[in-house]
Amino acid sequence: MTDSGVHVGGRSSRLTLPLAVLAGGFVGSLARACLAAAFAVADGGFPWVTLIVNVLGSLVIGWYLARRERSVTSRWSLHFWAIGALGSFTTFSAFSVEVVELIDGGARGLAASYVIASMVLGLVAAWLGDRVGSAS
Amino acid sequence: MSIAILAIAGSLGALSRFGLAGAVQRSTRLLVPVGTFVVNIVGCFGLGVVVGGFHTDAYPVVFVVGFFGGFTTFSTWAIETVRLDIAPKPSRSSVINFLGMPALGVLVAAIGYFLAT
Repeated sequence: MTDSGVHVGGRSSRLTLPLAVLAGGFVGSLARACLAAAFAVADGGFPWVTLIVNVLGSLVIGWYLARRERSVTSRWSLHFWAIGALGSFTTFSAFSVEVVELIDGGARGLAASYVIASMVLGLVAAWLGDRVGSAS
Repeated sequence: MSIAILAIAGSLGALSRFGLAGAVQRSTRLLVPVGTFVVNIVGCFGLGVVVGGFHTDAYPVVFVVGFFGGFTTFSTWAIETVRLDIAPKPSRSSVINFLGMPALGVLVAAIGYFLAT
């Protein structure tokens, strides 16, 4: 009885964090899918939905991780929010492929400005979130 | 329907990222976030192949697009760059991560995209 309880407990704790990532990933992917459906970008247009999603997610993850170091939050929370939800809300593959599509469509200037905007704004957002989250 | 598929596929992508990034990171002594790097490179190539090769809204294609969307991550790259000490004086590893990830991501996406086209 006790053995079986310990065994089940051990097994469930090994599954807890992957399940948190799975659940968080669902929430983050759902949010991005809804935004993408609500605000469709025209073919060949500036992919500002992905840009906003990536910058917003970078801001929040910076804030969340900095706050986390100053308070007691569970590993479940880290895996759900940072790795699952924010990790999959933001996307590097869509960013990269959108750049390629812009280049393929002949819009090299737009592609370059999209790359620079994503890199600079994403980094500044993560830094800003980190600073705000670290401030008392 | 497409939104549900994207969300389910994205959650499986997130779980796969968790597994692969963790395995890669554990297998190296490097202090740079090579787990996220490998995941994003694989995902950028994969999505490039899908978008370059399949111009359709068929559900299997939507699923794979959703999977790579959740598999790759931009926010982790951004905060890892910050945590590698980008400010006030950028460390070498932070600059490599900041410039290398987008450069390689776009490069492999282009290779996948044009191979599949």
